[in-house]
Amino acid sequence: MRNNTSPALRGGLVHAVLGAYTLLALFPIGLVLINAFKARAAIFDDPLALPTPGSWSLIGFERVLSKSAVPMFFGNSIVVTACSLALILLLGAMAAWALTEYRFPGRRVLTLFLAFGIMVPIRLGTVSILELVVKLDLVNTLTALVLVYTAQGLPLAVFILSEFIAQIPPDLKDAARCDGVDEFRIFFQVVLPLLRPAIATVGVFTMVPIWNDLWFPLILAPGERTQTITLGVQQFIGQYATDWNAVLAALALAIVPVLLLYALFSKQLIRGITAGAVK
Amino acid sequence: MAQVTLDRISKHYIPQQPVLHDVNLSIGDGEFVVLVGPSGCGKSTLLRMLSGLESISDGELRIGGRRVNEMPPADRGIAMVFQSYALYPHMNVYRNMAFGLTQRLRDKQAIDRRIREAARSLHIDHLLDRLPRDLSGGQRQRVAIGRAIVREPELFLFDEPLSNLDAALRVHTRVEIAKLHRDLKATIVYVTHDQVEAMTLADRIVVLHAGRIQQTGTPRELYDRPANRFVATFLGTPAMNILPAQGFGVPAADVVEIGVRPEHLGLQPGADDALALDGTVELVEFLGDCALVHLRVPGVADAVVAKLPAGSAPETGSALTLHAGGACLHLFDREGRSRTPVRPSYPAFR
Repeated sequence: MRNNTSPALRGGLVHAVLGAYTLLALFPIGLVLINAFKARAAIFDDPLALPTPGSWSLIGFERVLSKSAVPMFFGNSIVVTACSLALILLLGAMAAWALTEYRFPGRRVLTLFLAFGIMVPIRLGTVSILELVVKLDLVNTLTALVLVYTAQGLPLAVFILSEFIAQIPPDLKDAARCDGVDEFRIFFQVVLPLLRPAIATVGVFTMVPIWNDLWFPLILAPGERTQTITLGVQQFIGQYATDWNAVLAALALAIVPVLLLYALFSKQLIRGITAGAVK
Repeated sequence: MAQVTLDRISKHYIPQQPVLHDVNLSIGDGEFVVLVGPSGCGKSTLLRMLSGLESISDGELRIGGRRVNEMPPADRGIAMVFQSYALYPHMNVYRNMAFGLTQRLRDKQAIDRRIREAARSLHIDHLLDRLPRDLSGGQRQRVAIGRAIVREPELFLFDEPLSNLDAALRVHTRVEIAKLHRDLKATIVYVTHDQVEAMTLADRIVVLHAGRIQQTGTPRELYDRPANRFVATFLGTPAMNILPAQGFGVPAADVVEIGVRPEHLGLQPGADDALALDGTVELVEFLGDCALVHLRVPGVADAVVAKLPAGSAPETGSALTLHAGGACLHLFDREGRSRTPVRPSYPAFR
């Protein structure tokens, strides 16, 4: 017998490892969430304790929401993330379709060029990006962030979507072509709907780093009116005194959209939309 | 409806390595032509070239008198039914049928009328709101055919449409397709590797092998008078027995092989007895109405198969002599070409 461990035992082990990892990953988030609802003294007395009627306090949220700038920071984050995501998904899917479906000179070089984008972190180019943004007069604009994030997200999006597009049965495209459907309609009405699970995957993968990014907002758009939420939170952290209630409350709020979007996308992730397409 | 002419059609992906050689074929208006052959013979490629999904390397293709070589699929007046059905999985049956039409027809009411008519005739009118994944294999097949019908094409192309169905449904759908052809009086080109489908459906069969047309003709002609060894062994189950002419009497100088169909071998010598095979029974397969007897004959590589009435089947291991009349022998020369003399009649069954 080559493999004599029982399936139940192996399943148990796998679940134990995954469970431990989940706990580890959730720990900081949990810590932020519980302490966001506690009074300042209670945070420092026992950071791991759950909020009790005695230590319960919404002072952090009050302070965050009363500060008029925070909703604006949220708005900035949402605008930047949503625009980048839309551009990445649309352009990424189109590029992936073109690279998988059509044979044209330079296709391989282009694919390699995009693969290069996955391997090299975009932050290595920060100096050049900053110079470029300055020359384009885009400093302190959300446009600068959207452009940079789109460039950052595209390579991976093209890569993942290409894999999915390659799996779409060629007969579907042929059937559409026989019907005289033009290439744009084939893409938008046949291919794109079938890519929904893949797009959800790419959406989740690209959205989180953009939402959480501190680097580019700090460098390209640190102005009062263009700060994103991750950057905006920093103003509660002072050199001499940090308003932990406000920091934790702002962070707790910042987690919410990510969670919401994940819940929305994960439904799509699981759904096997291609079932029944071909036998 | 239209006439289709293939004039010296060739296809190569790599220069000098053609996968189809000089295919000449003329398909009459309303004719049901079946392209049949083993996997990789080029039959699907040929169909895709008719549809316009595959380019034509050489030669000329005319549909309804027009040269269509450079024409995109949509303008050729064709409709194709795919092996995988190729239904759009995110659209319901109605939208599946309408999708291609909205591209060509602006009149919503006309589209609706066509779809409902086709759905009624295919008995899928109660399924119009369903998604493909909620349909059975046979229903999907009907939808795929319906989608072709609503386009009112001049030429229907079927690419192995029955190969994903189970045996019972296949027989049923085969009959449906035959009816469809009768009702629509459409020109149909149908690709299959299943010779039963080919024999039952076709007005005319085109046998392809290694990128060349081996023979074209009615099912009867191909079965009774195969032009070469390939066609002879490809059509008919069990396949025709091939014996070396040496040792079994050489009727003509250039004949090297003799072919005889299993149903033409019998236990008693007939009036024109021309062949007697002595051997041992290796295996008897009982099929109900008849039995297939595998006879090991010295000097013949493969076991000779005879189709005998179930009642007269011998015991395994016993010695047996099989006879065949001269009128049912097929003669082949060194190149595999038929040397069978033209005969007034060919016995259907012994």
